Amino acid sequence: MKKFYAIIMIVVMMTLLLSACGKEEEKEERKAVETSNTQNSESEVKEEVVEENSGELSGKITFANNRQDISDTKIQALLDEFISLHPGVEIENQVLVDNDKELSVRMAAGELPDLGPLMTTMSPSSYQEFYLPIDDTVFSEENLYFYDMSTGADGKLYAPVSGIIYMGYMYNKDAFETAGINNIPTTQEEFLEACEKIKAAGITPVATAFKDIWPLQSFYDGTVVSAITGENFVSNVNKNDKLIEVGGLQDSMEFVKTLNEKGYTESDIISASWDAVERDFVSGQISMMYEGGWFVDVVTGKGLDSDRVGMFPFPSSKAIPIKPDFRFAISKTCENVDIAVALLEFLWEDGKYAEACGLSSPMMGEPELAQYKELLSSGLPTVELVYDDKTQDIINKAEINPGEVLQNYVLGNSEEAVISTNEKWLAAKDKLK
Amino acid sequence: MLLPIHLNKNSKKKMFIFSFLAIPVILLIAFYYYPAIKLVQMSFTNWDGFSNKMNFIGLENYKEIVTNKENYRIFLNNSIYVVAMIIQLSIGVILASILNSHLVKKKPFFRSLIFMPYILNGVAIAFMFNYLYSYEGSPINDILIGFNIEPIRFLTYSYKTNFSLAFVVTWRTVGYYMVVVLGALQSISPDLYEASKIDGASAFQNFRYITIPNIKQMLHLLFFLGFSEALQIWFEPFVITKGGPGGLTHTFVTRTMQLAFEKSNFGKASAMSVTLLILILSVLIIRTITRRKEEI
Repeated sequence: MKKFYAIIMIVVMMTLLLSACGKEEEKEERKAVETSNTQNSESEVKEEVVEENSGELSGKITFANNRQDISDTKIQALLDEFISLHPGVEIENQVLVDNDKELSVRMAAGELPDLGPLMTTMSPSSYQEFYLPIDDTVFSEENLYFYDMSTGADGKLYAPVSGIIYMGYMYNKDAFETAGINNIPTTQEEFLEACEKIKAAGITPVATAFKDIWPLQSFYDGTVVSAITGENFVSNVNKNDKLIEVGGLQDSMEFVKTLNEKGYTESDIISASWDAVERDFVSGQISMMYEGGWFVDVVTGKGLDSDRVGMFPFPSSKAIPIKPDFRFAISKTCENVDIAVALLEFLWEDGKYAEACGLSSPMMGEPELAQYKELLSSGLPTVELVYDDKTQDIINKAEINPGEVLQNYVLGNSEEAVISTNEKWLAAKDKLK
Repeated sequence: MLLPIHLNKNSKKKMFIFSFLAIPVILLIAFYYYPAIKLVQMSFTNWDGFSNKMNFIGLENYKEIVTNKENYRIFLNNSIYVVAMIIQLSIGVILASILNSHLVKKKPFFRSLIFMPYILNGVAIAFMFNYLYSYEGSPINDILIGFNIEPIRFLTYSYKTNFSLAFVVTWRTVGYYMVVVLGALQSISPDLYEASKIDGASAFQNFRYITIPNIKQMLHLLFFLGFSEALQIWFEPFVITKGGPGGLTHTFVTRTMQLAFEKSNFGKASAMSVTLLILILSVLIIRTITRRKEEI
């Protein structure tokens, strides 16, 4: 009898194992059918689907987002609203905890979400390999920010950005009032004078979150340089033999170094973390942070009134940089493309998804956020920071970690940091020729 | 009889064993050996992690790893964790000896207390030490300031930050070594200690001539397992310092992860993993050879 039960158990376990293999075979068959389609036939299928869009939608799709903080609340509310308009539709809402890492694995496995964000490092030349073109939608060069970056090598639209972020110095108005700062600094000299006053009032003038390094991204990815020069740094630098030089990245790194040397940053910059920045900005212990408008959502979520947060351009700048947030696209493996297209248009219409994420709408027009209005009241033009895959390829080949370079520049031998980085940059450029 | 086929006792036994072994072996091949073979294959390519193309580039990745001075500095960081492992093992042996003696009452309580850090969630521990190591707002520095003592900078722009991270590993792992050594100690026959007591041996002599020789094999095993772990350390530097400041606390694995996920260079990252595998296998082979020599 015992032998009988043991054999039954073995049979059940083998059946479970083989059933999983069976599902993988079906997936592989589906993949084989999809990859055997030519691009023309895919567009034809897509056009037919878009034409059918006017009919009743029904089916299931997967939607992915990388906002753990609002996925179950604001984003789910939007999806529920869409479903209420299309009762035959089912949407599985997936959260990506680590966007790039998870997507790279899913991409390699051929299991991308039907509608979801792209990897931040994905080059437009790779769009065609994984995603479907969406030319016959409401998006066009006239109404969508970063349209060029959203198109692939074939000139077709694939991946509209989900929102845009204006970059500037967020400041705590209460901290400024305590320090007696009545005028917003417009030059770097005025900025440093303001920092001195704020420091004298016992408040940390500028936050860096140096240990986590990503909050200082604008100082090593060319955002601040673009603000100072008025041109998109990233698309121009790949023509240079140096990555870091005066008039470019070295200026923004030198700015951070100056702030640290003058004591205008956290008292122990090496252990300064993002959590402390959030907490101390809300309490008024830190007065300024160079970030995008999403920072307003973060601090108001921790109890600070929105009208106590202001925003001004980087001092001595010629333009206000606009960064794109994550691009979204429809995967080639999507079985209900009509639903995915309809959902994409629904979420992008009037910037619904962007607003839920604390971003400005990707559709052209005046931003809604009060802080952005204050920022733009400076009269400065904007400059779109378009991703450039040539520059990224050189940085990847050189294995340069710009955040670590900034840390070495600020804390260690700046000259050595510049020389070694530029050597790696030039060597990588030569290899990629 | 359930099966229509008549099998002899030996065949039935073999079929029975095969049936139970089949599933774990299949899973082992599917989730361990097959990925390992693919890893070696990827190490000879320049795959970016998501495209369909995997171009063969021969030993290029390995050449770059060997000629990059940065990797040797990173190995120095790993050596700190090797030293920490020796300290962990030593403390574990001492604690196990104390807990195995008659000196301590309520042994289960102390055993649990010392072992508890090992079972706590690693992320929670890393975040806790993130907070403890901050210069401002850290409870440790607040206490020191309360006693008019200069607060400590646990994280500095120097090699010393690796020691702070290694301390976290030590705190977390010493309980594990204690428990394993304690098990080995409890397997030593008490007759040996009674005989030594009659001969007038001191506690230190007992420890040196009875305890250590009897747990030597276990200590060897723990040393080599710990050595392998030290070479694969990534969690604490990844969560607490992200390999910084300025890349000073990068370990071999954090650097590998950076190459794979930030630089989209899965080919070279695979080569780094294979290099680490070769190093660990070399250590294991040395251990096996030395052990066989001792047995002879």
